[in-house]
Amino acid sequence: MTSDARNRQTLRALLTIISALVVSAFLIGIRW
Amino acid sequence: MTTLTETPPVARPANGGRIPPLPPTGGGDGPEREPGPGRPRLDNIRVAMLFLICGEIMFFGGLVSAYLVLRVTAAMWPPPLQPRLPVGVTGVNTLVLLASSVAMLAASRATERDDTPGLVRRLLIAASLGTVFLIVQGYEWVRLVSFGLTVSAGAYGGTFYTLIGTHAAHVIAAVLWAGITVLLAARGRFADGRTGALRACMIYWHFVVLLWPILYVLVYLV
Repeated sequence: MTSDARNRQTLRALLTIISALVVSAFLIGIRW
Repeated sequence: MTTLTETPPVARPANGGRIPPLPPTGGGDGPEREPGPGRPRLDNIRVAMLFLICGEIMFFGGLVSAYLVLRVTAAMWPPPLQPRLPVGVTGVNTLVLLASSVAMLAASRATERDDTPGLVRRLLIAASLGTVFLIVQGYEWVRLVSFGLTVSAGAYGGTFYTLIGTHAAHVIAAVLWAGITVLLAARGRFADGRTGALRACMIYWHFVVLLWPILYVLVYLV
């Protein structure tokens, strides 16, 4: 695996984590 | 007396004499920058800066959320007997900051041309414009405090100084980083094509600049 492909995989993981955090913060905000 | 009956073994290359390829460095700081077809190469510097920027976006997202919640729940915004924010001066200051990003883009093009004096000059212009932005912001803050808008004056002052002050702290960090990068560039640190530190500084600069219009619209205009 090239460093470019590895970095894209890492970035996808980062964006997934952030999306999950944003969605959960939004849901908590609505409930609050 | 002994005689050699066999010729000594000759070292033969195992791969037919071809030079083996160099191992991948993976550092992203080397001169090798061949972009892939259709999309730019995502090297380690870009990934590291994206991690930092994502963290910063979450941080500012929390501050903006707090600001919006306090603002929406307030009976009047801005509260009565509180000074109004300097929309015009800060608008011009926004243009100054955006111009610094243009200077940074020009510095990036100077790097591609291996134009070290041009790079130093454009970096200095960008850092100077960032400093002008900070000076004008500081002057406006002094005026606002003299008009009675302090951190402890309520949610209006508290959220204003927290949000805008946090951004100003980021601009100070960006100016210091740009200053160090100017010194490195003047010493020819990036002349050999290892421009990772320079590109990281540029990415951070553009982030700090592009964040400001969002805060300006939210805090000053809306």
